[in-house]
Amino acid sequence: MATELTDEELVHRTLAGEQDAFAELVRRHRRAALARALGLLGDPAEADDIAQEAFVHAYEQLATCRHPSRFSAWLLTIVHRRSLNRLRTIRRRRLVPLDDTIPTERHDAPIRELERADLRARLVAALSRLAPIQREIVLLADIEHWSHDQIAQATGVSVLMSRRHLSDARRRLRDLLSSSSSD
Amino acid sequence: MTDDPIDLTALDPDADPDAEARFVGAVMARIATRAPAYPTRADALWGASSLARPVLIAASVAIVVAGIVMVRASRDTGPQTVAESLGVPPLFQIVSPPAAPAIGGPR
Repeated sequence: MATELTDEELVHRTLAGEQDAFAELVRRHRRAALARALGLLGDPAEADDIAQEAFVHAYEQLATCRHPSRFSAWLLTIVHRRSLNRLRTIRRRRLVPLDDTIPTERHDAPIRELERADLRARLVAALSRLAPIQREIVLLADIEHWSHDQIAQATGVSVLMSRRHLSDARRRLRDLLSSSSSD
Repeated sequence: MTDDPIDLTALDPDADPDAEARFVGAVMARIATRAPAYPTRADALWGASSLARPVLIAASVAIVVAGIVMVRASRDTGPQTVAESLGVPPLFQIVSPPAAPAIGGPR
């Protein structure tokens, strides 16, 4: 139904009472919201929670979205703000380090799953060593395959800086991953 | 090469094929319990009317301006007095002072 509708049309339909239209917006922008939250928080579980919260907040405040055609940018601003708030809370409470929040796999899980969990843990650990803006950009570029124009628009940095951050982030990640695999 | 993409597929949110449905379901469930359903405004057609609002405002302004222009135009070209409207020549339209009471009139 709603796949061919624009974000603007989906926003207006949601405001008119069609919840399915908002579900489509969630489906459409979920990955970007998760990448943004993961970039800031460095923890997939926290990122998932924050992204969900951001969508709920966006729904509640949808009537205040001034430019429905730019719903994505508006949503990502909410994700960004909420992620920073969550980071402050985490630091205040001095929760366990990022690496310790990765759930341990069951012993009877297939070997591939264990390898995948190990790789995931190493990636999260390596990502947590990057600056938040580098983490955010490398996730948007290498998971979401966003262009530098899109990244610049979403993060507020210039295209040139986006390229530089991405290049630095990739180099650093390669170093960190190669040193962690040789340990 | 250093600028080749890093393989981050292990962090891909869709590594689990059910992840999308689970995420959307969780968001919509949170909305159902917490947020008010639209439309909640007194104006039930707010969503629709907001689309047409700029057009309606522009049309209203245009109608008012057109009305003012038409009234002014009719004032400029039409007769200003009853005498004018009756075709009395301008020479006879000089306003004379109020007439004095007639001599020998009733006292």
